[in-house]
Amino acid sequence: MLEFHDVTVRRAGRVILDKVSLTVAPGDHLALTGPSGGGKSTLLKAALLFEPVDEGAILWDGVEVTPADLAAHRSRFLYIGQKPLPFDGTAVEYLDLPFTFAANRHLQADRTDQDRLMEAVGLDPDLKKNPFTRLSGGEQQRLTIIQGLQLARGFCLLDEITSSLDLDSMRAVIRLFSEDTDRAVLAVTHNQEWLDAGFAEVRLESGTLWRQE
Amino acid sequence: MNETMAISIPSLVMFSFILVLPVLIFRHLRLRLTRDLLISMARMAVQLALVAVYLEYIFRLDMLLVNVAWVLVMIVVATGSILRQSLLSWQKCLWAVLPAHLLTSLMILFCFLLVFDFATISSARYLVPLMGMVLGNILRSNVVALDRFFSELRASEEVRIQYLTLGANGTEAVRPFLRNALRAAVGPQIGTVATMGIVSLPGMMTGQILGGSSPAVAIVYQIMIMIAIFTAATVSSFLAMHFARKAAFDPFGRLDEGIFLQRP
Repeated sequence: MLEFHDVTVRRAGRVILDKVSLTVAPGDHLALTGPSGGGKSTLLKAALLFEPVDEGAILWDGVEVTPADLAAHRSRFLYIGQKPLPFDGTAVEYLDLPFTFAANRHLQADRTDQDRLMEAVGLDPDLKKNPFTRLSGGEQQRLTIIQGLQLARGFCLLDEITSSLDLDSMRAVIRLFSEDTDRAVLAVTHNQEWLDAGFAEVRLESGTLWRQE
Repeated sequence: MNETMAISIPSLVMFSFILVLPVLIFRHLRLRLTRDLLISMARMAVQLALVAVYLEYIFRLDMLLVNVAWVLVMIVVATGSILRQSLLSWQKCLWAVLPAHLLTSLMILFCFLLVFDFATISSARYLVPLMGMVLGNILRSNVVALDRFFSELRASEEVRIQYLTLGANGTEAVRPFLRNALRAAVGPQIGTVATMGIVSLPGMMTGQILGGSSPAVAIVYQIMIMIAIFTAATVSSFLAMHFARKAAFDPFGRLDEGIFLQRP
């Protein structure tokens, strides 16, 4: 269970997050909304301790996360941003990228699962042989989402991952997350579609968190 | 060996009047470069004159320790120049860039032993110009590599976070940045090497031919020095980024803004 406990973040004299408290339990599906510059991305980065917290703490199962358990803490999460990763190689090599890391050597890519996920977000599995750079931005972004989903991570932190997708692809991606009741999802978004898919709205405005009931 | 015909100072002064041409073009285009040009040219003349005095002295002395000390001075000056041009903080990055260049120079010196005997390569007449050429020609690639590496790390923090959460360790997460930076740093040089001799007559070769060497001797030197420069550029850029990376992140894996010089 991820917990933000009275988290305050200041940058250059400006308060970015003001005593934000939020709990994300396993299976929770939350949509983090609010105006640009309201601190949404900062909150996601703070969860991973990539953003220094000035006051308050990030807790995991009730215990404060320290630099000592950083690697273990981060390996619980899947973080996906708005843009695909820069990559030289084919689409399938891009999907296999996480398995080339030393920490994941014991895992193996599951080709049928890759195909299933690609079809689920409206991608033709034959695209896998194409050079990654030849694909459109939307195709690359959907592959980036699949790339992450192959790893069994219980908590997803998504930073506007559907902002570059057309309506159909966006709905397909949202469905992938909303139907996954095993994973907790905290999705930064400007889009109503996430709320329509059953995500509970949490709103950040000038550093203050509002929970919509 | 024939001595090169010396150019007298008065004729050099006469020759320098052809600078009137760029100055006239600058004026015509209202480019405010004349001042910079004249200052740079004057600086060059003074620096080279001083170096000539140093080198005369060092060549006459020709003591191993003095030669090595001179190479060390060149390495330190090169490191300083790289840090200044890539806008990195001295305190944070000196201990990354300096060892990278010490190691690279040591490696190149060992490689020179494959073609020269120790007495030859350690003599001032060979050591100083050869190492000078290598060090002088790898500055640019180091500046490009470090500048590109850190500016991309700063601009694409999300990419690194994404890599780290996909299970990459610190080294794996910076590899794409390292790859891009090295490609930008030494990639263009591969093209330069390919046109050598056709588009450009390389400086070392020209100098040797003017100095009385036969073109056959000169090209062998030129080929050797091109190989040495390219290898040194790649190795030193790679090592500099590799060492600087260790200084660049805090215990949380965040990029330390302190490694950049304060920019306006």
